[in-house]
Amino acid sequence: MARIIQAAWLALAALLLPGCSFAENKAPDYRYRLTVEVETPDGLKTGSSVIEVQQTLVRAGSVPANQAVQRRVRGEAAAVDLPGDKTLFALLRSDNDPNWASMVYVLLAPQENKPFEDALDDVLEVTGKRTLPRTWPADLWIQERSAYPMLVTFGDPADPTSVAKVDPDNLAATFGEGVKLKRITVELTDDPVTTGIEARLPPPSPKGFYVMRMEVDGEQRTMLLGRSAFSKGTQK
Amino acid sequence: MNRDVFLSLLALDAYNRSYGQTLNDLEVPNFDTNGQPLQNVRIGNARIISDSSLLGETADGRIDEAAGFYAIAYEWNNNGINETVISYRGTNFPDLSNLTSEAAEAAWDDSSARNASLAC
Repeated sequence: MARIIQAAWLALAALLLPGCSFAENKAPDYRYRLTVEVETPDGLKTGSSVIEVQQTLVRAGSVPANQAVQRRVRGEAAAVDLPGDKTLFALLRSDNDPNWASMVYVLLAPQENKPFEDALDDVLEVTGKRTLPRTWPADLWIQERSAYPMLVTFGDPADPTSVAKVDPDNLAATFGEGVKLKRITVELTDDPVTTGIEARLPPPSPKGFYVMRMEVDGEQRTMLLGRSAFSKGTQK
Repeated sequence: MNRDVFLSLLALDAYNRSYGQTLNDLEVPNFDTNGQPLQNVRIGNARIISDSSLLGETADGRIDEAAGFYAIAYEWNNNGINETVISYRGTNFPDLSNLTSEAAEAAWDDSSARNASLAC
């Protein structure tokens, strides 16, 4: 029995020779600039932020024999200063996906039928400034969902419980007539990661949350919004 | 569905939710200030009622993510009986990506030697 186990163990090791895809990390890191453009009665207002996505090939936790890509984000929300001393923040998450910032370029990349390891650097083929679609299309079990980052503002810039969700299709409802989202774009860049947004935010709760007011099924509710929606890995 | 099969599905589901999910775009509800889910997210008859994002966050991100840990809780209506099921992931698998045959054989020899000493 011991001989059989030893043979199986050595056979597994033989499959993992140096130079095979498991030993080489072919999933590249990259940075992109997230830019939000808003039309206002005072003209076009913009805000942007450079976000870094660090990719590492790992064993898939559910099936350790398989590969998976672990993605970590370093960066912060984009802030747009609007008339009336208001600020619109485009967060690192979307309405439904806390991993939004790490997945944007994966979803924009060409969706081709190719082996997993050949598709790892497809994100780098998304060149130039790209305007985000309003939604990602439905696919298999996945419903159509927003392609935009979550948009929020603070009712009181000193109050961590005053976050209000902003409807990207109706900025005027929050900021007044004449305020309209023009577009949200992303573009690969080598610029340094943007830092410093914490200076514009009230401190979160001791557990690291802000409180956001939003409407759910016609009812006013409050939602815990983690500080990592505003910045990750950029504070010293 | 067989109980054990569904519990196995819920155990697997923990790998497909939240940060580091193996399957992209599977939803996790947002939570209110009382820790209650704001959306009705289900897998079969099991409704997601909590997850470890509620442990909190630091300047470097989520506490659970920093620890390589994730847990998710469901309320499962199993033929009229409500059960709470908690699934979690975070086994500290060794990194096998650079394993050579020599290293594997050395590990085997070390293990065999230790087993032999235990048998004495």
